[in-house]
Amino acid sequence: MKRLYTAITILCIAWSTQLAQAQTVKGTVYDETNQSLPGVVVKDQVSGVGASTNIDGAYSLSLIPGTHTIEFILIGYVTQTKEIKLEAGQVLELDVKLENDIKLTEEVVVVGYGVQRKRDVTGSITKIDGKEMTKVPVPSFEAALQGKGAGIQVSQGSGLAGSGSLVRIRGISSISAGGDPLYVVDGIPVTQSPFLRGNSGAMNNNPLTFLNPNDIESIEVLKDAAATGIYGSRGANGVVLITTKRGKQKGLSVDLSVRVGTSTAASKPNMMTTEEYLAVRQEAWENDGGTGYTYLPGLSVASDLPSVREAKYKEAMKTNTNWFDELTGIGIKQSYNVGVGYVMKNFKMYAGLGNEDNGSYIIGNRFIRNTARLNVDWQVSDKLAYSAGGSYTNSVNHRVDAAWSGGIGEAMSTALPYFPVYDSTGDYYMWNGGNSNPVAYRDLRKWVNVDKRVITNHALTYVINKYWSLRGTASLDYMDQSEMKFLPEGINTGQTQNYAEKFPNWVTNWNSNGTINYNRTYKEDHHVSLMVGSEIQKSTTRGYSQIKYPLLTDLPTASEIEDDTVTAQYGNSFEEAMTFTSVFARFNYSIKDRYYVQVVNRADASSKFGTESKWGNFPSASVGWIMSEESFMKGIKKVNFLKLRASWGITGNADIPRDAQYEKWSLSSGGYNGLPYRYQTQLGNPNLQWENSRVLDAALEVGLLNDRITTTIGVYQKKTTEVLLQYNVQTSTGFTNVWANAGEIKNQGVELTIHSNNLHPKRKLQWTTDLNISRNTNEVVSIGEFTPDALSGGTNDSRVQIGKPVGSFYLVQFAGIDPENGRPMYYDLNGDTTYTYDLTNRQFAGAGIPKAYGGFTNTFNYKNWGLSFFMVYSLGSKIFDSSGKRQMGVVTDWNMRTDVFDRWRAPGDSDTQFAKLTLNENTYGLQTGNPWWNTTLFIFKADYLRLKNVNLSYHFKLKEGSAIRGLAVSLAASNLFVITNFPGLDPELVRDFENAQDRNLSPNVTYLTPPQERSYYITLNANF
Amino acid sequence: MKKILSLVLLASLGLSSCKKWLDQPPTGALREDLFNTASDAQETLNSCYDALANLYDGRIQSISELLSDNLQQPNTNNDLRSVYARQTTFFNNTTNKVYQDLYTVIWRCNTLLDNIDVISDLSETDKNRLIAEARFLRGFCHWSAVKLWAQPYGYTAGNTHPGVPIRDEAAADPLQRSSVKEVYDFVIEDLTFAHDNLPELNSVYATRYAAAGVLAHVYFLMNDFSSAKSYCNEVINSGQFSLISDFNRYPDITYNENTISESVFGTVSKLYLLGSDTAQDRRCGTFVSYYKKNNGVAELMLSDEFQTFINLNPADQRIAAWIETENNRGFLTKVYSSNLYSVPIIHLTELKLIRAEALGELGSDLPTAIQDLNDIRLRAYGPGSELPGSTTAEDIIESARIEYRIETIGEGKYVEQLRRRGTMGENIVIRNAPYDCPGMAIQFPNAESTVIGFDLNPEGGCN
Repeated sequence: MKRLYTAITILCIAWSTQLAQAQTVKGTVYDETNQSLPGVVVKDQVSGVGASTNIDGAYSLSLIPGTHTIEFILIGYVTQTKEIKLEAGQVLELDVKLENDIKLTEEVVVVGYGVQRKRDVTGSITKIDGKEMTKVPVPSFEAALQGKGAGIQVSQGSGLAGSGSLVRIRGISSISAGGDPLYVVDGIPVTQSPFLRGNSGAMNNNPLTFLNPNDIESIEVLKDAAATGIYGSRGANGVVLITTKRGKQKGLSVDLSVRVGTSTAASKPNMMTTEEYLAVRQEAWENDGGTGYTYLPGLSVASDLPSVREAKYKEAMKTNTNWFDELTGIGIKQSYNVGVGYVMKNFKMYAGLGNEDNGSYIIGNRFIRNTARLNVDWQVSDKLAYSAGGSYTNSVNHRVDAAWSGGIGEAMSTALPYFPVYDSTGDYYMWNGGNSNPVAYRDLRKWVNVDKRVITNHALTYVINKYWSLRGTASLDYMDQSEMKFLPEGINTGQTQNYAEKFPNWVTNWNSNGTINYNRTYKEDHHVSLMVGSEIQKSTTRGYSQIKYPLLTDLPTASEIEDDTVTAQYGNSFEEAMTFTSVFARFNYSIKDRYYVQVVNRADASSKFGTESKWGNFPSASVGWIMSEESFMKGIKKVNFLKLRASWGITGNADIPRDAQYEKWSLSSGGYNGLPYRYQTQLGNPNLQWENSRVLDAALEVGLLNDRITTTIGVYQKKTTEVLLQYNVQTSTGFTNVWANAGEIKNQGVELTIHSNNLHPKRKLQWTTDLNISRNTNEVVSIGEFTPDALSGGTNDSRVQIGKPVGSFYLVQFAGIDPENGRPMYYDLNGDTTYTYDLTNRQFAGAGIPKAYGGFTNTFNYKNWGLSFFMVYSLGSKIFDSSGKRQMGVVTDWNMRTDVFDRWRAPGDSDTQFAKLTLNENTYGLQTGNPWWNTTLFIFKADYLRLKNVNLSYHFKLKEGSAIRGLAVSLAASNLFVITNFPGLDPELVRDFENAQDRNLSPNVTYLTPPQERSYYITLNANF
Repeated sequence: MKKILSLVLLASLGLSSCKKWLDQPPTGALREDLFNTASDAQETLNSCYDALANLYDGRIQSISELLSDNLQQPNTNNDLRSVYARQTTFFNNTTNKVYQDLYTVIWRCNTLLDNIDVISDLSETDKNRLIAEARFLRGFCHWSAVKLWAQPYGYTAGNTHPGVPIRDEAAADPLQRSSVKEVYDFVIEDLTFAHDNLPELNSVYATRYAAAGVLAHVYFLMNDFSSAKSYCNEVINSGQFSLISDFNRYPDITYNENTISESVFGTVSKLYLLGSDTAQDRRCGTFVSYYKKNNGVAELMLSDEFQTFINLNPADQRIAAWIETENNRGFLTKVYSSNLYSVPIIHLTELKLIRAEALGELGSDLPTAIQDLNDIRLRAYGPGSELPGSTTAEDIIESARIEYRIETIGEGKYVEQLRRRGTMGENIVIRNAPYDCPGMAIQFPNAESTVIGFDLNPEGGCN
């Protein structure tokens, strides 16, 4: 009743004041760094009239004339109260600056098993606001880390929907073990392996897509040993901590966002037309001494009669199919998200729902994801708090073949332009013995990956007394992955019936930890905190090599499978488990908020480690000094903040297969003489252990002109020993490889981050610049007593070479073209030229990892308008165009690129890029039948500068009291252009990899890799 | 507070000491799970034969045969073409896999030899037999490797030239190449032990006579004719083996019969009942696929040179029995294109020819040599083709060599004899290149040479 009365009163007042020319107080609320603050509650203490600031921090209150006390309230900030006096009809401008409530928050950083004030942190941590995750439409959140922080190198994957990115923190220090950082979501090291489905269909799966970027509050990237040391044997390649949103704003708040956009191929391959290809082939045929018309793959053979060859040639001329165009188009992307926050006394909640339909430019390729999340926090009593989080993700990836597996990969290789899509009767024209036609495969076969994932975590915190508290957590990460295919009768030669097949995996990953925390301040200036904890984790993967459903007419449905209404043939089942047990402690001591010391130790044991080396210990220590607090700095007004920090520590990497240490045996029936047999299948190593990285780090953090300019400059050195190697054992063991620890890798680098408000904060036009530069050098110091061929990256001609970076190519050096005869020449190891392509002459041919990379963002704000340009760049790496050797080498059954037009034709042609055209490998000094021409001719510089994103936004001015607190629309384009000298499709690429070693060693190899997409999109954000 | 601290620590340590928690081995896939009983040991030995049978299904024989002048350039297979061109590189998947599989047999034999003592329910007899069989296979495979991946015995005076690595235990330690002498010494040691410990009868597995037959062949390639003769005598005089009469060395097998009477040692295919279904263990696949005729061509076809050679004597019944011709191309479809057959690796025909030639070289007991030859000649050319009792040692050798080349067509053995004769000083030229040109030794796999200091074979030089 009272409430109704108040409401009527307010309405009446509002109405009457309007009549009497409203008295208004309005303005903008800023934080200490002059960033506007949305969601600040602005309230007249007397009348209760109130409003919230909009997305730009602006507010407006209509009040009756007289004296008022206005409160400005925002959680995490010190509440401000202002006395004002309003004359009738007066419009009063009142801007307010809210200060961080230091006791409550100041800026906090998530550090693993806890949080720290940013100024107290002595390690190297990059914090990225969750908002950054949603600015660019990305297949998966980790792609949005690109360019956002120094030391974080991200290469976005191919244009395939749902594909992952390659993330490297401060270079690469692993060879055979996974080089990816550890991903920890709300305290759970989540299932993250990109190889759960191998590289089926030329795509590595990406378990990280389960996370809806809209649910992310912040991401902390831990880089040095002081920061990652608390993750012990898994911290060496960096740790990415993801914190999801929790209830923040008092009362109910709703955020809505809608995004719609398009996807097109950012670049198209320059494959030849029929006319061009036949001309090139004919020239090669004649160069080789052939007479009459050349034979054509799929239509004729060399030994056919001249008349047959001629007829086929003329027949071929009638067709000109652009296979790339047949397979690509404009993909549509849509994303709908709603986030609801609710905060009351003792209770906080965040709920998020998201739907994303991410179509790529490849026809038939879509990634659809539905996510739901609920996070709650409940202060049960003064002593006890409970918090829980849960998320459910259901995603469906509609797959297409790519790269070596077919699809647009075929369009760039064996789908020759003279093959029609349909034959004269309207059926699909199939070649390669009836097994090829990418359009037919796309249309006739169904192929989906369905992933369901639940993550839930629970935490109890109990405050024992002023100094001591306890915390315990339990978490579960469950993933149900299955790839399903339906193959209609006749799609493959000899396939006489329809069938469906399914490849299921179930990963159950749970962990639990307990910590005991102590916090105490002595004599005001001495602050001590200690955290001691232990943790256990177990992850189990189960699955079947295949489940086949013969005689189906479509993909098996869930009910068909559950009810057993379809006959299933089960392949081999497998189950693998992995465990970790850990104890850890962190001790912090600070004096006068000025001098800081931190000591961390973690001991890890894992089932992955050999029986002879179960426990690893990982200590680290760091110091910090806030120099700007010293009296000698007080005179230097322009420098408002100056901090020096340094750390040393040992961290590890344990990302190896679960059974790597074991000598494995197998038992089979029906062997020789029809009898069973048993034998060893894998070499074991009971001494297998983690890698050790000794990391040194130092940095200077500077704030200038009252933090208008902030910058961090840091240096680091990381020496990794006991490197995990799955080296090729001698063939005379009968085995292929074995795991061992050996060798040494060195990484060192410099990182610079600058944030600058280029114009005075009082001006209406605001311009901020963010720049980060990372310089990394990487060197393999030793790998033990092996030649480079002991460690290779899949089929990618990358090898581990002493004194060179991890991920270096190993090829025969190209020495140009002999102008007299048009034949290619090579250098032997003495530097002499030869016509013979000899594999013993392979040598270092460049590295695939960049020497420098970073991001560069400029943001302009003027009144309601915002405009930002986000660029990323990479310098100093090389690309090996592994498919280029077939597209620009010996003329075979592959279509070719028009680059080949620049070729030798007659004696005296001296500056052509390519040699005399030929159908005969011997012309190039290759073995008969071996067109795989692994020379440095296909090594290119991969430097690039990409306009990753440009975004124009408008924030609507909303009437006060409106139900909508904020409304903004933005128009944006991603990947508008890239500046590069690389002649191929895209200088930023991540191909499909065979295993972690391939992923580490072959970062910049393209093999028919789909180009990235370009997208245009419109986004609508509303807050209630 | 100390109490709480120590509680947490204790709890953690309690967990960590739970050894089981930290051991998550693949279920039932450790040696401890699978290698405990006498039958486990027998099945481990069976895995050695299993790998050997995959190798001798035509793969290893064809590589050796391609180095001779019996075949023409392979039709399409690039790996085989480079073997034929004597230009193998360390990326040749076909030769690399053959090399690897030889050592797979060796490794599996070593796992049995190294661990046999853990098996408690093994009788002394069975234990001795298992060891002898494992050493037989280990020695045989080292010998098979050294014949292809090195220059022949006798290439250098002391046989100090590089052979192949000797893997005498199941340990992946890096190995360099041992000299050819060291390899032959090791092979003879293993085979002699096997010979002395193997039973005379042992189902389809290695017997005392299998070891004797291999030893005869080994000594013959060393030009140790006296030892070769002795071991031949042992096999031939045993009475366990008899010459086939129908030229069909690779007959389709039946449920009950999967070896031929002249097989001294070989790998078998098998047809058997599994429940009520027919199951087959097929160990002849590569022969079938290489020699099968399809659209007028086969992957492997006879060289013109061989066709001319065999046609020198039109009375030779083997021409009609074995060779199919079309457009002047010669096919061994009749020999190797049945569906399911066993592969004799050492057979009586070969041992008789070896004995004849050895006796010819020794100049002793020529009547035995003539009788051996006549057994073969009578079968091949019919009555009236026998050599007279006055045949000289030289003619015996000459005749033995002719029959040897024909009788072992496709088995990869002829080129071994050419190389042996080369080391004796004969002027042996194979397809215009000397018998010991560098490319005659197959290149080692890339991974074999990842150990620093490993000597690769020199490439090329044969064209």
